Amino acid sequence: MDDKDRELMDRYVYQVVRRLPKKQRNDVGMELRELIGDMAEEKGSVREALVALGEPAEFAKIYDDEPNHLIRPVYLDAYWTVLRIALLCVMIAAFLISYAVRNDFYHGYLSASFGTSFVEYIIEEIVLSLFSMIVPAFAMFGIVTLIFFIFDRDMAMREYLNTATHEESQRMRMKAISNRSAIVRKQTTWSPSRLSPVPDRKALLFRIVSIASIVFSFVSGAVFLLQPQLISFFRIYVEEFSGFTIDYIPLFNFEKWDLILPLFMTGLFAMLADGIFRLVIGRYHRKVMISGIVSGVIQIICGIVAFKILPVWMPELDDAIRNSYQNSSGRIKSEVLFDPQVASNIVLAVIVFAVLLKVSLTVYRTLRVEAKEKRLSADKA
Amino acid sequence: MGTDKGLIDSLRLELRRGTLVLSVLSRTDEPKYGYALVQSLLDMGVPIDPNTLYPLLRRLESQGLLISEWETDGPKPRKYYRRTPFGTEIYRELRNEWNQMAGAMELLMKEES
Repeated sequence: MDDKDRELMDRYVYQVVRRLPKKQRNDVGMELRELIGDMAEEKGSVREALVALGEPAEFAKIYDDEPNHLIRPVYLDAYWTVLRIALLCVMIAAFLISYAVRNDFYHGYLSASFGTSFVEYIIEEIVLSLFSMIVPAFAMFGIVTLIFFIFDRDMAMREYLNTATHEESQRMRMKAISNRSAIVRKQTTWSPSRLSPVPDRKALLFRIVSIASIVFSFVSGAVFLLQPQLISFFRIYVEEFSGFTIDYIPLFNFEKWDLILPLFMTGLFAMLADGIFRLVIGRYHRKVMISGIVSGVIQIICGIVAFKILPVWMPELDDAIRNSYQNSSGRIKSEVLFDPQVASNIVLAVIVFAVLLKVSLTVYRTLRVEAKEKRLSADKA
Repeated sequence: MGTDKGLIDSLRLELRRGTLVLSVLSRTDEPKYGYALVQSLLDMGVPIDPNTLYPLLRRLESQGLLISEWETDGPKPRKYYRRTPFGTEIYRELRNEWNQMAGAMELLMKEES
């Protein structure tokens, strides 16, 4: 068996095992290699063996121990990833927003005193916020599962129409036409040359980076849209006799919020779109590189306009923090506690550093993967 | 006529399907790998498609009738299947059943002719 045959066999095995439950993949993969090797010896070539075995999707069906899946194994990995992301997004956002709503945050300085101990307060808030996560989490679970279920049934129908016999195909076609817009394609005979290459593991993107981008941008977007006053300077101080006080000093300038919010949302949307795109493509590719650069440029421009041109910080924030100190300790602080210029520079530096790091890594790895693919195809030729 | 051929093929398939388990159990008293079983059954006049045999072997293994072991010493790794004691017990019962059925069918056919 030469390299070309081995490559063809790897492609076939990959297409079969990706459709099976994870626990079966390794064993079936080894068994299938053994079978293809034996059949190739008898039939003269790997290609002939694969033609005899038939389409990988059909072959996988008869190998599946538990064929009655709500969502078939081929989409199960994607389902779990999307479900985890959606649950993380909605639960963190619900946790934060419910806290802000309960504590009646408003667009200005707020000083709240509590008669209980700080530990009791924290426990109570965490418990209440956890309760507020339950309904959104169940709703999101239902929505994601339903979407994947409908998508999976639709794909199963398309696959069936592609592989069904002519008679069955005609019958299904008529049924599809009478039910809704037809999702029918021509019946084609299967050939091993239709097998797509096995993805190179080193070319795969780090999923965790895409997931972090999606969760961060979704949660930040939800907070900015619904309860932006949650982004506050918090000061907690224990009272002399009992209880404690929390001073919330909102950081952003709500008088100019109608100008600031669209910039924040544009930057976060660019980050969210890039995160989703990276997750869908899943591997280093020129399109992913371009998406990363475009998204990065948008984020930096939004950051520069928001933090260097617009008055993003609450006016007299420094005085508000100073007052909070004075109220709690009675001492007057003379030094500058909040410098808007320095704060803007730090935030902007963090944005630029994060964007440049992500973009430069993506560009470097994409070019390396492309060079490797070029070298491999030149070797084959 | 095409429909008749289709019908005969489908009935033949149905008839054979019932005998596959018995055929496989009869050949696995000694360890055998998948493709050797295909060949061995073919030599005995029982052709079986690998697409049918391999999943069947896994099913019989999950039912406890067969046991498998990977042999990795040779030029390529091979998975060998053989009957378990429980598989042998079931095989004997099925074989008796088959013999009775074959006898009865023989009688039926003779009477008819």
